Amino acid sequence: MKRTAKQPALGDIQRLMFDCLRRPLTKDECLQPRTARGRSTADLVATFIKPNDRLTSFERLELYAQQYWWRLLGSFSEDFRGLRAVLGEKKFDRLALAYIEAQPSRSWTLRNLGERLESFLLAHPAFTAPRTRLALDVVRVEWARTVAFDGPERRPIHPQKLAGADAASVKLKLQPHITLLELTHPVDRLFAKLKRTAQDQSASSNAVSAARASRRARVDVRPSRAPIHLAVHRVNCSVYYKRLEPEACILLSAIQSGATLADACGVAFLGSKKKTGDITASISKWFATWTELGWLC
Amino acid sequence: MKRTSILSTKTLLAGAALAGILTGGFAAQAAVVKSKTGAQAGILADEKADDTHDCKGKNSCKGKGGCKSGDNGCGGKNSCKGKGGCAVKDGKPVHGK
Repeated sequence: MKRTAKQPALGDIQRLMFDCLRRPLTKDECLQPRTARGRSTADLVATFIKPNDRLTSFERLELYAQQYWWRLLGSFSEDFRGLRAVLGEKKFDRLALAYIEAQPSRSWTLRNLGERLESFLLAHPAFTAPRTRLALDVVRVEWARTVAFDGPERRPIHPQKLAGADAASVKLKLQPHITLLELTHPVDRLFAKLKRTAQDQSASSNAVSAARASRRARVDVRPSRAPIHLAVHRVNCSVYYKRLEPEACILLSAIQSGATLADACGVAFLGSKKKTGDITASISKWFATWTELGWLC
Repeated sequence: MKRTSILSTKTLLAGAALAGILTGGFAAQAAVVKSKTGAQAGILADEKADDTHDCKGKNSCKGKGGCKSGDNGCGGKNSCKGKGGCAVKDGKPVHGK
């Protein structure tokens, strides 16, 4: 069917509709009565959505707007449960609205919704103050968990094929689902504590009050004296947080950046005062573990 | 002289790495990984990648009428047909209008 001169193009309708949808809902969780430019939403929506015998044009679009926001907020809240526990419900909800308004989903999967959260928090520390450093650590770990959860996995190395290799020139890669982090707070222990609290609550009370208590609970953890090096990874379809020694983290980061095995080992222990025998023992032990876990490819 | 020494140290360390890889490979072949995973892998996060409920990025819920909303409502059932949308909040359909 041909489009007449008066009918707007499909692309224009889509843009208009999305502009209406992406405005946060009112306090009563309804569609905003005015557009961002101050025009009546009802009048605007009537130009491209027909009413039916039960709902006005505005009410029809409102269903989509509610679905859009509830779905995104639900997904965001599920992916950043730790951040919610650190900030408290009210602060988290304010942040979630602001973030999704500024960084709406641009992917076919909601899995990617939180990928720009860390940079958003760095640019807008007021949302997390005075616990910005803890919030940033938590967000880094929670995003890494998403990556570990469904990031791709390559075929692990075949150790016997490396048996006769020239040790100086061997290059390895890390599994793409592994994220290496340097943290100022023990976020892995914070999450373990949160998990235990949630389990205790669900064991000691009914589901509804446990869910309410878990939403109310705000957790805190002191900064660590020394930086914490953490690998967030996947083994046998489960996600784990593994602490690393600082040199092990440097070594793995160098491998991830494409260094040869020899250069990666060298940079990890640059200026180290440890005895060579101790260093070789550590390296040998680390690589045995990483191979068992399938980290190297 | 110093450069030669650094090179030989790095090669020595890389040799230790290769020895570790071989050790780890034998351990994996001996099928001890499963029993060791708990201790070696660290603290278990709460997600299970093969969980059928959570379909992030997997399309595993395609045709089942709901992804990530814990949907037990009207997804895919046409119960909201003609109303212009199927709103779900907290896992329940919302048809207040």
